[in-house]
Amino acid sequence: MVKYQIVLILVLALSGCLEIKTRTTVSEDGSSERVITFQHPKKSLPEAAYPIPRDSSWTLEWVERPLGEGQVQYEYIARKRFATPEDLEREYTSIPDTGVLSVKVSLSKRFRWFYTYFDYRESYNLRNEFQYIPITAVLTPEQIRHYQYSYTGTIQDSILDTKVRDWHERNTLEDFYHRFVRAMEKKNHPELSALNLNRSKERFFALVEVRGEERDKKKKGEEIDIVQFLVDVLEEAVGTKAVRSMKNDIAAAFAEEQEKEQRLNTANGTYENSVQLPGMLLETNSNKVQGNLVAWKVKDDQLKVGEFVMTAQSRVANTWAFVATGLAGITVVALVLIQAFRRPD
Amino acid sequence: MKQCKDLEPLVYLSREGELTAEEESLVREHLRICPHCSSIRASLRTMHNELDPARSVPPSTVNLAEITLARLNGRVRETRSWFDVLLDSARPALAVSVSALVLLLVVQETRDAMKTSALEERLEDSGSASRTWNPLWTVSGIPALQSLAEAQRQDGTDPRPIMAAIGDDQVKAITSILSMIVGSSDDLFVRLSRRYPNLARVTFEDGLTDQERRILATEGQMLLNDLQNMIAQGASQPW
Repeated sequence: MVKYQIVLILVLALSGCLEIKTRTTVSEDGSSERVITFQHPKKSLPEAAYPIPRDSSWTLEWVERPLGEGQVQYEYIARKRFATPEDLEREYTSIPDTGVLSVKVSLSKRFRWFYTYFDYRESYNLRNEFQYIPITAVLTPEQIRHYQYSYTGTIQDSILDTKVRDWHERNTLEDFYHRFVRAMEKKNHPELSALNLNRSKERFFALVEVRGEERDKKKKGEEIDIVQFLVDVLEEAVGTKAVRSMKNDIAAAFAEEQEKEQRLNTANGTYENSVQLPGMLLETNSNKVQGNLVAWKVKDDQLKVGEFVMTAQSRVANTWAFVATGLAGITVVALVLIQAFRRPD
Repeated sequence: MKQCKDLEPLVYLSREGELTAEEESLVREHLRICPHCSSIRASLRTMHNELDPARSVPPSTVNLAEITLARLNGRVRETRSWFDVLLDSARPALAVSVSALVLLLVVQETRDAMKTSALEERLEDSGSASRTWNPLWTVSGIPALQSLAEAQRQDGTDPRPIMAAIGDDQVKAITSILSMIVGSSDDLFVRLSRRYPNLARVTFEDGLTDQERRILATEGQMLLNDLQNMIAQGASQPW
C-alpha cells in the first residue's frame, strides 16, 4: 500500500497507542484529586503528546500487571491532590505545553446561598498541522459534533471515521504538494510554473493511488523507495522530466512531512476522562453519566477535527441556608404577631 | 390605691389645670410612686415646652399644624422603647430579605429542573442509559460485533442472550469471535494477541490438533470469560 506509506500509516502503527485514563474527584469543599493512569509495555515514560505528570509534586508509581505466559504490562499511576479549584487550574496552566496536545482544566465553585454550584471544564486541543482543507469541507457542523461527542462505534460512526481518515490523508498529500510547489517556485524553472503545478494537483493525488496499487501488485512485500516513487508520479502528473532535478527537494519535503506526522502521532491513542462532582449533576455534554460521575472517551482522530471540550455542572445544597431562611421567615411572622398584640386598644 | 389605668387620664388633664384639688393630690401622690406616669408627665412637659416657640409666632407666618406634627412625631419616637424601634426597623428588612431569598430559591429550582430535565432527555435520546451500555459498542473495526450491538441497541433488547447464544458451542464461539477480530486491524486484536498469544495461532481450516484443543481449553476459555465479564460489566456500568 504505497499510498498509505506516503501518508505514514506505518509510522502511525509503529508509534503505539496509549490509553490514557484520567479521573478527577471533586469534593464539596472545592478540593480535588486527580489520578492519571495508562499501561505501557515498558517501565519507562513514552513520548506522548498528553502532558503526563512526572514531577515530584505528583505521587508517581509503576504497577506491574501480569498478562499471563510470563508477559507483563506496566501501569503508570500519577496522583495529586489539589486544595482549591484554583490549584487544579494552575497545575495545567503551569505544565509546559508539549506543542501537540494542550490540556486545560478549570473548576469553579460558586456560592449562591441555597446551593453551591460546581462548574467543570476540561479541553483537549490537538495542534493538527495538516489543515489545508478545513474539516468543514468534509463534514457538516452537526456531523463534527456527533463525531466528537456522540461517537459510539456504530456503523454510521465508522463512515465518519473513514471520512476523517480520508480528509487527513488528503491534507497530508496537500501539504506535501504545496511544499513541492514552493520548492519549484524557488527554482523558477520555466517549464514548472505554479499554474501548471496547481492544475496537476488532482492528477497527482489520483496517480498516487493508482500507481501505488499497481506497484503493490507487482512488487508485493518489497521495500519501496518512497521518494523515487513520488518523483515518478510527480513527473507523470506534471508531464515533464524537469521534476527529476527536484529529487532532493522532494526528499526534503517528504522528510518534513514525516516529522510533522510523527509529531501528530504522539497523540495517538484514546483518552478516557471522568470526573466526579459533588452533589447533583445538572448538566454535561457527555453521554456517559452515572449519578454524579461523568465520563468522556475520545480518540486521536476525534481530536484532529477540533478542540474537544468536556463540561459538567453540579450543585450542592447548603442545608444551613435553608434553615437560616426558614428561621428568618418565622421571625418575620413572629414580629408581625408581637406588634399586633402590643398595639393599644 | 387607684390603678395606673384609672389615673393616667388625670395625668394628661393635670397639665391643662382641669382637675379638682382632690384629684390633683391623687395624681401627685401617684406620680411619686409610678415611673410610667411620671415619664408621661415628663413627656407632656417637654412637649409643652417644644410647642411654646410655635405659639409665640403669629399663625399667619408659620404652618402651625406642620410644626406641631413634626414635634409630636419627634417626641413620640423618643418615648418608644428599644424593642418597638427594633420591631419597626427589622421587620421590613427581614421581610424583604426573606421574600428575595424565596424568589431566589424559586428561580434556582426552576432553572436547575430545566437543566436536569434537558440532560435526562438528551441521555435518553443518545441511548446511553447505563443499564443498556455495552462496551462492545465502542469497539471499532469489527463490523459483525458492531452490527450485533447496533441491532440490539435499536431493538432495546438485552445483549446478554445474544452473546450467550454464541457461547453455546465454545469452539464455534471462539471461531466466530476470532474470525471477526482477525479480520480487523483494530488495536483490540493487538491487545488480545498479547493476552492470548497462543490462541491467535490456532487455525481451523485443517481441523484442530491436540495442541490447538489444549489452547482452546485454556486461553479460549479465558477469552470467553473475559468477554462475558466485559458484557456483564457493561450491563452494570456505563463504561
